[in-house]
Amino acid sequence: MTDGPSWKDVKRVFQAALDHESHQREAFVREACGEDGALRGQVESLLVAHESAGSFAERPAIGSVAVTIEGESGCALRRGDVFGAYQIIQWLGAGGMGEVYRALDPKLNREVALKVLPELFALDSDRLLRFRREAQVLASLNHPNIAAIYGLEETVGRQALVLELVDGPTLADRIAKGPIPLNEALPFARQIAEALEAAHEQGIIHRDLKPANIKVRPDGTVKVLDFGLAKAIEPVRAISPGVTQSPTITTPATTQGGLILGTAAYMSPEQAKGQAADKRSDVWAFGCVLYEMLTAKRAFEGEDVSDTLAAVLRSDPAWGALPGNLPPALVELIQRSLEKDRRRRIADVAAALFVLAGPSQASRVTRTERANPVTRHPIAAIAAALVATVGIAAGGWWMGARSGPVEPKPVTRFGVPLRADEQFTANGGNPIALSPDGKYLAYIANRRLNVRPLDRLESIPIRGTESLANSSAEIRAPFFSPNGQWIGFWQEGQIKKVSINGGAPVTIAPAVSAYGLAWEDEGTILFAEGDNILRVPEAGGKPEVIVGHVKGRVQSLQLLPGKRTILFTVFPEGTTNAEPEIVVRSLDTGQQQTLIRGGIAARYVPTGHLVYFAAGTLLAVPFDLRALAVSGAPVPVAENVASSALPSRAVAAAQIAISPSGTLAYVAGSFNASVPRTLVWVDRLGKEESLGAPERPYVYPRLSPDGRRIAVTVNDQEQDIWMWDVGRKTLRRFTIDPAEERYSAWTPDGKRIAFGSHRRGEAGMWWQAADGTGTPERLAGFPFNRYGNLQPTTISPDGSRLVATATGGSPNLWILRLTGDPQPTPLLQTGFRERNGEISPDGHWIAYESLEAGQFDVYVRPFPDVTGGKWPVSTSGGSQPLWARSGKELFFIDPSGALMSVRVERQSPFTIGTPAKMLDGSYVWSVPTYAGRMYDISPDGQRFLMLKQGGPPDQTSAPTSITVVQNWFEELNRLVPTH
Amino acid sequence: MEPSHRTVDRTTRATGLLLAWGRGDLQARNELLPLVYRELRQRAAAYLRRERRDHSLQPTALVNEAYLRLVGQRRVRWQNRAHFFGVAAQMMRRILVDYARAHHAARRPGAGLRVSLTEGMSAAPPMDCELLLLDQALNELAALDPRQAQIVEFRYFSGFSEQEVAEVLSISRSTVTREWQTARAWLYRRLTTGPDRGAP
Repeated sequence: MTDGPSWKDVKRVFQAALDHESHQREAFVREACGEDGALRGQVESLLVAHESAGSFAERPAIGSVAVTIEGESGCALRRGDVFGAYQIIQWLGAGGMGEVYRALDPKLNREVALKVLPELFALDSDRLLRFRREAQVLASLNHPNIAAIYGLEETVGRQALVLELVDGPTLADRIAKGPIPLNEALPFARQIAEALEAAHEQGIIHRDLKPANIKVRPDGTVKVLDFGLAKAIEPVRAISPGVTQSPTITTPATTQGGLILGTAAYMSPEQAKGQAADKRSDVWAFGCVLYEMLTAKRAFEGEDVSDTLAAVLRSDPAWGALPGNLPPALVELIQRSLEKDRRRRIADVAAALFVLAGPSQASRVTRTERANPVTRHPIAAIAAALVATVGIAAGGWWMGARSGPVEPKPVTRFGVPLRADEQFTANGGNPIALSPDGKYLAYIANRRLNVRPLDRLESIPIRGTESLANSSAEIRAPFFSPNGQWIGFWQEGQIKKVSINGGAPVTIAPAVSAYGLAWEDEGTILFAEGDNILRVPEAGGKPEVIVGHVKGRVQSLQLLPGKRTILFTVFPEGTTNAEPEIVVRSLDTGQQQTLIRGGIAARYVPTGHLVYFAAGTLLAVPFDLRALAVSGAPVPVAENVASSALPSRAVAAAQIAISPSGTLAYVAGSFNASVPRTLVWVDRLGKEESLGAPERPYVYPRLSPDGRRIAVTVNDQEQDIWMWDVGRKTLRRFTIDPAEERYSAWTPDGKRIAFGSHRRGEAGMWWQAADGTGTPERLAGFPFNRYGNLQPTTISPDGSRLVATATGGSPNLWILRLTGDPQPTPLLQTGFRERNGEISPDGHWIAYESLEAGQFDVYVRPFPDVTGGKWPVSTSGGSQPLWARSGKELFFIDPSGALMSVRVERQSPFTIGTPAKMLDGSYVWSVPTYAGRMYDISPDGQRFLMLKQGGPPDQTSAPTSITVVQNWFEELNRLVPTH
Repeated sequence: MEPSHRTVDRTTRATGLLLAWGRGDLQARNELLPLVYRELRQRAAAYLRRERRDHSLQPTALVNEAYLRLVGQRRVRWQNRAHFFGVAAQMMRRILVDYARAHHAARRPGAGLRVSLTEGMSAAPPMDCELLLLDQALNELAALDPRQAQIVEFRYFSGFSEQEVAEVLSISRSTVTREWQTARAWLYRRLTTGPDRGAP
C-alpha cells in the first residue's frame, strides 16, 4: 500500500462529516483536513461514494443469488450427455422437483423419463436417505395406470428418479379444450381410481393428484404420474412443528420446493389446514378431477393461492355446472368425495370403483383377494347405497368398458420392509429364501432368522437362531425344505434346520464354512465348502464329497431336474481379474461346461429360463435343459438387486430367492462399501499393532514424510479426507467442503497435501496446507463427462511435479508442474488402463499398474521421460505399487491380496529380484470401485500401515426392504419368450 | 418426522464445541466451522428454492434456525452466542459466494477489479458477478478494518439489522450505523473507481 493518510484519520474525518448536514460537509472536510490534501482527497471521494451509493449492498445478498438461480435453466443437461447409466435425449420440462429429461437406458434399450433432483436437494443427507427409502417403496408400485418408478440413479452427488416415460397430453391439456364427454370421462375416471386403489392398498398416498399429473395416452390409457413424490421429496419437519403445520392458509404457499403452488385447487381441506394427508385426501383430489373433467372448471378456484384455499375450506363447488345428464350415482360420488370433513367423505376409492365400473364389474372388485369390502370398510353404507343406485341407473349411463381378457394370475409386486431397528445379515451369503409354495419368506436380519408369512403384516423372529455380534460364524444362507416345513441354515460351523413353526434348531452336520446350500427333494442337502461340493442326508450324518477340486470357490448350488446335473457358480481362486462363472457339471461323467461368464447365483426355473445376477441386475436367458445350453441374449428382469460379498471377495451371493411356484423375492439396493475399518501397523514379520484410530470406512491411508500424521479418505456419505495424528491419537477432518474429496498425496516437505475433489462440479485436484490453515487452491480439473476423478498419487522428490490418475473413462496417468502454471498433460496413455503411478525416491523412475497384459501388473519406466523402456515388476498380477524410501525395494499387492516385496538390485540397467510375499491377504486391499493404494510404509521401511476390517457395516445406506413379485413367471414369460 | 439420532448428536456436539471455544479452545472453533457450514448450506439451499417464488428473504431467520438446530434452547452464555453468529455470518458469506461463483464461473474477476455501477443498477440487487467482486473487495477492507468487514458480513451476507449487529458485537447502534455507512462507501468507491484511487 502506498504511503498516504492513515485509515484511522480518513475514517474519523469521514464519519464526523456524516454527522453534518450534507451541504455543510464540504466546508467541514476542508477545515478538518487543513494542509493534508491527500487526506481530504480520500475523504471527499468516500463522501461522493456515500452520496451515490443509493441502495448498494442494502439488500441482503441471498436475494440476488436467488434471482440468479431462478434465471438458470437448472442443471441443463444436453442431448448426448450422460447421467449415470442413462443417455440424455431431450429436455422435457422443469418443475418444483427438478428437471425432467427424456433419456435412454442403454442396458434395456428403452426410453425413460429422468427426473434430476435439484443439486441443492442432494446436499441434505438426512433427507436423501429418507428419499432413497421412499423411492424404494414407490418403485414397488406396479400398476398399468401408474407411471412406474423404475428406480433411483445416483451419480457424483446428484440423484435422478428413473420413471416410466409416458407420451401424450396431460388431462389438464385435455380439459383446457373443454368439458370431456361422459363416455370418455368415465373410463379416465375409472383408471385413475384403479391407480389410486392399487397404491392405497400398499399404503401409498399420492398427495398431489391433479389433472397436470395425469397423462392420457393416444390409446386412451391413463397413467397417473408422480405418485407419492410429494411426500418423498418434502423436507424433514422444521424444528418448530407449529411453523410448518400452522393452520393458516398462507402456510402451504411457502411449502418447500413450491410444490403446493398450482396444487392448491386440488388440496383437501385437511391438507390446507396443514394436517397430514391420508387416502381420503386423494379421494378429495379425485373428486376435484372428476368435477373438472365434466365441467372444464375447477371445483375450487380463487384469484390467488389464499383465495383458492379459502374456497377449499369454505365454499361448495358450483354443482349446477355439472352436465344435466349425469346419473345420480355419479353426482353423489362427486359430492361425497368433496365432503369437507373427511370423516364424512368416501373413505375408500374402492367405493368410487363400484360406481364407475358399473354393475357388471362390481363382482370383479370383490373377486380380488380382499375378503369383502362391504363389511371391511367403514364406507360400507355409502358403497351399498351407491351400488343400489347404480343398479337402477346402470343400463342408462354406464358406457365405460373394461375390456380385454381377465388375466389368470395378476403379477403383484410389494415391498416387505425391515423394521427400523433391523438390518440384513448377509455375511457373504444370500440372506433370503422363499418356501416352495411361495407363502413364506425367510430372511436373516440382526443376525437372526425371521419368517414372514406373506399373508401377514408381521415377521416372526425364530428363537434360538441368534448369532453373537461380530462373530465370523454368523448365521447365513437360509434354505427351505421341499415340503416347506423346515428352514435350513449355516451357523457356527454347522448346518442346522429349524421348523417354521418354531422349536429348537437341530444340527444336521458339521461344515467349517458352507455356502450355496440347497435341499433336494430326495432328502439330501447339497452344499459347497471351498472348492468341494458335498452332500449330506437331511436326517444328519457325515457329509460326502460328490464333486471335488472345482478350481475355484463354489456358491449357489442347484441340482437340475433329472438329478444328474448340478448348476453352480465358481469364483476362480487367487486372481483378481478373472470373472466368476456359471457352470453345469454332470454328476455321471464329471464333465463341466461354462454357461455364462461374469454372472453369479444362477437358478434354473420351470419356465425354461436360467435366471442369474450380474452387476446389480437380475437377468434371464432361455435355457435348454437337454442340451444344457443357453440360447439368445440375456434380458434384464429386475434392477437394483442387492448382493453381498465377503471382505476378501472370495465369494459373493445375490440376495434373491425364487420359488418353484413362481414368486420372486429380492433385496432391493446395492452392496454397500462403507464398512468400518481400523488402521494398523504391521511389521515385516506380520506382527500387528493398532494405531488406536476409531473405526471408519477408511481408504487410501497416506503417511506424512515424517511419519507423524496420516491423511486418509473416509468413504462415508460425506467423502472427506481426514487427518490422523499418530502421536496425539486424534482424528480431524481435513477437507470441509460439502463436495466429495478422495485421495491425497503429501508434498515431500510435508507442508501440503494434494487431493482429489468434486468441488465446483468437476473432477478436480486441489491442494492445501497440511495443517489445515489457508484456503485450498485448485490445481487442475476435468469436466465430468471426460473423467470421474482426478487422483493425485505421487509428487516428485523435488516437489516440482505431480502425477495423477484420471479415472472414470479409461484410467491413465497425467502429470502437472506444481511450479508456475499447473496444466495437466498426459504422461502415459497406452490405450490400456494405467493407474497408481508412484515416483521413485530418487525421482528417476515411476512404478504403475497397467492392464496391458490382460490383468493388472506392475511396471517400472524411467521418469520423467517414460519412453525410455519398460520393466515388468509383477508377472502374474499385481497392483498398487509403492517404493520403500530407500528406493531399493518395491512393494505391490498380488491378486490374492498379499503384500509382495521386490528388491531393486541395479538401476542401470534396471534389475529387480524375485517378488516375495511379505504379508498375507488378511488386510483390506480392495474396496469395490476404489482402486487406489490401500496401504503405506513407514519412513524407515520397517512397518506397513494397513487397513483392517472392523465391525459390521455402517447401516445408513444398507438395504431396508425385500421386494416380492408374485406370479412372476407370467412376467418372465412375457419378457423373455422361450420358444 | 422426529429428529434423527444424527441431529441430536450434532446438536450436542455443536453445543459442546461452542462451550469449549468459549473457554478458549481454538481447535473447537475449527471443528465447529464445518458443522455450521453444513447446516447453513442445507438451509440456504432450501431457502433459495423456496424464495424463487417468494421474495421476502430472511437470511437472519436462516442463521437463527441454524442456531436453534445446532445449539437449541440450551443455556449458553451470551458471549458464546455472539461467537456462533460471528461464525455463521462468515459461513453465510462463503456459501453465497460459492453459489455466485458456481453460477458465474466464467465471469470471475481478474486483477483489475472494477465495474461500473450505473445509477439505475445500484438500486437493483447486485448481480452475481458483483457479489463476487464485493467479496473480493471485502477481503481488502478486512485488511484495513476488520470490524467493518465483519459488519458487512452480518448486514449484507446474513441480513442482520443494525440493531442485531449491535447486540452481537456488543457495540452501540450508532457505531454500527457509522461503520456500516463507511464500509459501504469504501466498497462502493472500490468497485466503481478501482484500486488506484481507492487506497486506502
